[in-house]
Amino acid sequence: MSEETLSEFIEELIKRGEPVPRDLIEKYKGKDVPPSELAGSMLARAALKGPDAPSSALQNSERRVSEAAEKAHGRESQPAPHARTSLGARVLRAALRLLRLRNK
Amino acid sequence: MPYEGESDHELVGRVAAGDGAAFDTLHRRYYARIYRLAYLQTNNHADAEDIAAETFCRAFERIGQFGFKGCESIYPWLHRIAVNLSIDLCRDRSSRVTVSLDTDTIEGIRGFLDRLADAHPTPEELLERHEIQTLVRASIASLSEDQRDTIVFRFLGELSLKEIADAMHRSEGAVKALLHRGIVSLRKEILERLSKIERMDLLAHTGDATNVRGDSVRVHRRADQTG
Repeated sequence: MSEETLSEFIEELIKRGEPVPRDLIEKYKGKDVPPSELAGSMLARAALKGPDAPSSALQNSERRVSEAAEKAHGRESQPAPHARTSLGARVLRAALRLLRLRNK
Repeated sequence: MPYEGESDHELVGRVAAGDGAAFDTLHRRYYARIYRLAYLQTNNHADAEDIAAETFCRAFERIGQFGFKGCESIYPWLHRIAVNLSIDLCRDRSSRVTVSLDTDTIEGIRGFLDRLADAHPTPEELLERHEIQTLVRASIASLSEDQRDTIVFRFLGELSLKEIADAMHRSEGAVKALLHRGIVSLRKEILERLSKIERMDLLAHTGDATNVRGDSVRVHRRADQTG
């Protein structure tokens, strides 16, 4: 059944990475999946593996989550002026403050 | 990075218990995928960055209410938040995508999609061109919600069939069928967009291009054809 075979092909496609290995195409070309469906899967895979996020975007996201965490817990952030605290540490600090407030 | 080898389940439990470093790990694990999803939805890097960041802010705020409901990955939940944010952002904007392609490229894509002709050009070679990436992504984005989600969960989220089935409340067989129909529809959508590009090309050369409204494509003829 071609749904089954297409699913198998996609499984291998994801595992094997890029570029798509020649032997993988050959292995499935003679099976019950039309080449057009193999090609469609390969294009979808290639299109959805990018674009890569710039590292500055990741850092901005970390900063925004940290600020949201601080805001959510009702206190302003007071980071050390010189040290860049990790997102995890900042979120942890905010969470601990919340727990302290709850325990009061 | 702490907790690198831990499952999403364990990490969410840690965050709920007040361990912020665990959220840091979830953020790093899924940021690239959510960014790519947001880019797929908006076709814009600045918007993708904004939506990805907001997705994690909202996830952090609501993680106490989150339940896995059978699926072992937090990705489907993040996916829903990001898609909803994208819809809100794009509601008042034109989501029209403009793509310019020459006739050789159009034939190259058709040859690949129809015959997988010796896999030349390879998908990677085709997608080196930004316009083709845009065309394929726009085609994926325009699929029905079920088909699009299945393709995105599988290829971008890299969820297993079981995880997708759990996230979508379907059987694995139904997910396989959706994936199959999604790939067939995607191919059809790409080919229709290519035909549209050619029609626009023809209209541009007969002076009627201004009469075509709502098209999402624009064409550039090869220099040797314009003379």
